[in-house]
Amino acid sequence: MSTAHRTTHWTGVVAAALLFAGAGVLTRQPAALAAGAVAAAYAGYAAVVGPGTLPPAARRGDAVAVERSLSDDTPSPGAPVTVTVTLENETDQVLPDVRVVDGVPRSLGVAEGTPRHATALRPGERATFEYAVAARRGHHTWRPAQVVVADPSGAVEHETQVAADATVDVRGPVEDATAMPVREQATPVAGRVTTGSGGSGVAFHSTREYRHGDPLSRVDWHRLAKTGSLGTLAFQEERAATVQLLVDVREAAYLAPAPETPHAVDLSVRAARRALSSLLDAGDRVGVGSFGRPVDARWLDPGTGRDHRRRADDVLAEGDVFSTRPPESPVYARFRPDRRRALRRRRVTELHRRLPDVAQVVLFSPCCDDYPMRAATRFEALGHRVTVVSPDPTRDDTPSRTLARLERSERLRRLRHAGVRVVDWAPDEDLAAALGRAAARWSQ
Amino acid sequence: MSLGGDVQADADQVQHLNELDRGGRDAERPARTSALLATGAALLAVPFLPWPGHAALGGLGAGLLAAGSLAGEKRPVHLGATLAAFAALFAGVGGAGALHTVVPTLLTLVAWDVGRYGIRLGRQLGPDADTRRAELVHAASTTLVGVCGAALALATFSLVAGAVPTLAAVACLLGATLLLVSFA
Repeated sequence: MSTAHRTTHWTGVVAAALLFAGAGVLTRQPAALAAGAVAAAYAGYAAVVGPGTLPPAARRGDAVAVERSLSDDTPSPGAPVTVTVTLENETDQVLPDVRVVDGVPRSLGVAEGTPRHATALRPGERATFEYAVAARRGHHTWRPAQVVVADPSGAVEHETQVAADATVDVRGPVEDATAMPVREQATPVAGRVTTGSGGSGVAFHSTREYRHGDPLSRVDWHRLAKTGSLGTLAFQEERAATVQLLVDVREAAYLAPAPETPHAVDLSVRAARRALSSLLDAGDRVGVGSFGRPVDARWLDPGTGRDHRRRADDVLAEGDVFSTRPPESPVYARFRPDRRRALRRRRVTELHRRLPDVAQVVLFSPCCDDYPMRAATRFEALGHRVTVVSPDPTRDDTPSRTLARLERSERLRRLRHAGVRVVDWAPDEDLAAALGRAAARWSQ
Repeated sequence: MSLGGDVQADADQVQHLNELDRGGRDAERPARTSALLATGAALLAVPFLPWPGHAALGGLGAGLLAAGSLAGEKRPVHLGATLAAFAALFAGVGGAGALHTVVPTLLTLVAWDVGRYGIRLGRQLGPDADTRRAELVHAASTTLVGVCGAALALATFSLVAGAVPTLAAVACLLGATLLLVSFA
């Protein structure tokens, strides 16, 4: 169903007609009267003749069919996708004035051309126009196109929405694994985290008296030869880590140094995917979750295996929770500050309950407000070792931005002070380089 | 939200089309074809005005109308069209003859319509959209209607001028005018 709209396009032409005709009558000048007749012809055209030429389908809103085709419906991020829109006059009358604004998804930007078009269509005629959108990570659905069919005089416009299916599914690119250092919080499963306890392993830990049942391979033969007594070598045990990757997706994390550079959430997701594949390669159990959305939204408990890897990567690569656009409104925005703080504490406790006791946390956040810092120290207090990977979105070109940058580095300093490992990741730096720099600091 | 220049960059393209046209505060670039056609029609009307005084008034109106349609501002278009129409009216009242009254009136009305149509399209669709076909069809049908109306009026005028008393012709045309106006 369309909305009919009478425009003000011809308002005034009746006055002109009357003025000319009246002046013509008063002065007995037929020429002025004839000019008035021209204006009157327009008045009649706009009022009756023009709108009358439109077919009834225009009033119903099904005069024009819209079809969309995309050059690629699973493009890689940043690639332009050409959208071809075809309009077809489905009536048996001429549509002299068809205007269309295509329903580009809010989450996509138009990169080239314009999604708007106006044309005239003969019965059954088709017209096409093209524009390009820049693909962004996520699942995007086109909205109905806005179609206006106007009569030739422009006096009446019938506006309607015409649906046409089109979706595009953009996954992040395959990310290289970047070795992610884990902290000394281990599980009973053998792996790569070097523990403080002695057992089987590679690096020497200690020696002790032989106990019945110790494997022969660990008997200290040198000691037997020298002293005649049996001893057993203990090596540092290496265990697997359980890691929960948490990506800060609160509105406050959607920060970028410049409009054209990727924002912190995008960088965090990329870093998380790289960490995910390296940790799984190393045999660790890895889980994925969001920080700042309902806990159950796309949460994956730590796990291993090929299926788990695929599922975890899907969660990160698809863009519903880990969206490229900030949420409509901050989660706790409508609460008072003290209440908000209490709710946030509860949220951290909820996450803690959800995590296995031995799990350590890798939190990806730009740390441009206090919440991630508080959460990280609280995780530490609750017994989860925390590593914060923090993409730096700050700049120092204005005093206020400099202040924000200083505040952020102060937060990171306090985190380090609280025993949290921090990876400060500059925007122009490779993640591996940032990790290397941070690891050098930790080993000091 | 601003349209026009930002149309491409904006992710939120779909707006209620008719809402865009209401405010009318910020000028947007109009659809180009219509703006040029309106300018042409407005300026073409001036030489048809018979005397320098009328031509000056008509020229001022045509200039305003052209500037408004090119800049995407409705108010100068209205004002310019009113001035140009008055120039034609004064010519007609002063006894300039049918050609010198009807033709400038017709051209001014066409320029007024086409100019504002371009502005409306510019506001709804932005200057980058391909709108030429719709604009040409609109301008052609407006011109056609005007020419038919003028031809009819002039034919009546020349038919009845000698044979029937002027007053009768005037009354006849007035009747036809009122009949058409009553539809509006």
